Amino acid sequence: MTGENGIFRNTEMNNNQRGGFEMRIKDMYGLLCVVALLFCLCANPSANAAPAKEDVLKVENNWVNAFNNMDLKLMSSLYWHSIKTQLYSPNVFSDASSSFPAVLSNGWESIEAVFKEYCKQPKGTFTWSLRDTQVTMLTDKVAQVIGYHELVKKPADGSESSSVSLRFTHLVQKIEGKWLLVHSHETKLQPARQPMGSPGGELPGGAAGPAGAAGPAATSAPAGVAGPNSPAEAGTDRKMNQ
Amino acid sequence: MKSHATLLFSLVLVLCVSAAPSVMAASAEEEVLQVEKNWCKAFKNVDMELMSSLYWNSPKTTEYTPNESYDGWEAIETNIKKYFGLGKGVFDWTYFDTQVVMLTDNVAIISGYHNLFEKPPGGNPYALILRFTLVVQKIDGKWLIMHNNETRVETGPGREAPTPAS
Repeated sequence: MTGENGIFRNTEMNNNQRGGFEMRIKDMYGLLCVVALLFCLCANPSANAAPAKEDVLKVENNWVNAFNNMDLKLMSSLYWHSIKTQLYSPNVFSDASSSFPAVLSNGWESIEAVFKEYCKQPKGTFTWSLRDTQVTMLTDKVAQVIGYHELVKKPADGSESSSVSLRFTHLVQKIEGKWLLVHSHETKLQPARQPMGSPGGELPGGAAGPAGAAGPAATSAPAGVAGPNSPAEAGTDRKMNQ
Repeated sequence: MKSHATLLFSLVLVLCVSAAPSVMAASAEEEVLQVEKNWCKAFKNVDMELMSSLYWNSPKTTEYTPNESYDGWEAIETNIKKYFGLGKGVFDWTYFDTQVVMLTDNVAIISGYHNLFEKPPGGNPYALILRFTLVVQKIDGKWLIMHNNETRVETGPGREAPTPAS
């Protein structure tokens, strides 16, 4: 009996040892799972950064598509429909016949009205494309997109084509799971640059020098300022031969 | 009596907590606007130290001036130093129609107009209006400029140009 008991005890001990060993394996497995989970959680932001950038870039590409196809529905889906949304856009073609003026649009409704005006042009008149686009993720829900819009105008009457470069700052924000434009600022680039200090030359800090492209008259006494719904931004268009 | 006091205290507490976000938002907007105020001040006083403290000193910081683009704080700093080299009292920057939009607690947009007046020694004074967008972010508890876009505004018929700050 003793022997049996001893064997029994040994068996019991072995069972306990086996149980302990299994528990250790289980613990190890559990620990491994936790480590793997932590690793996944830590790696997640960087793993998400690339797709987020792509999503943001998609907004920019769609913005260009909406302009090229005069697609109001698409354009509407890209903007935050809020009174806080802002668009500052210069008069891209400074000729008097230009039918879409430069504006400071405050709120989606105002932006929509500008786009509707643009859509009155015959389709194919304007071709927009992107250049040197940079996406900066400021947070996981706010991104900044900067770069250039190249715009070519082919008038429907077959007259000379012209092109202009626009430099833009777009702010996009993920609102209710969707990346939306909350701020747009477009700058029409001057075709030629002169060194600092020369008439029309660049000055550091954001200004153009005295007697710049706007001319001495503008520098001596500005008659006004492009406020809401008024033409803005000086410039000469590059002319292209068809 | 005690329970009434507790109830009243709870109500006041709830009211305070409810009111807190808007109070904080106003304060954050003021903090953000201070960046713009200091930017103009730094230019006016040719204060490179102040200017440097306003920008995120990073290669990722970008600035668009009417005809140039600057990538990184070093390029921006070099450009500003050239400007400051022209001396104190030559340039006067003021701002108007400024709007602050808080995108998150840590990211904001400041937009508006800059009014630049220059009095070059021996030359004719001139003025320029610039439209600007400043993107600012709170990093390590401080609001810093991440991006600046300045666009020269064509003058023309419209409202009168604002009077420069004396």
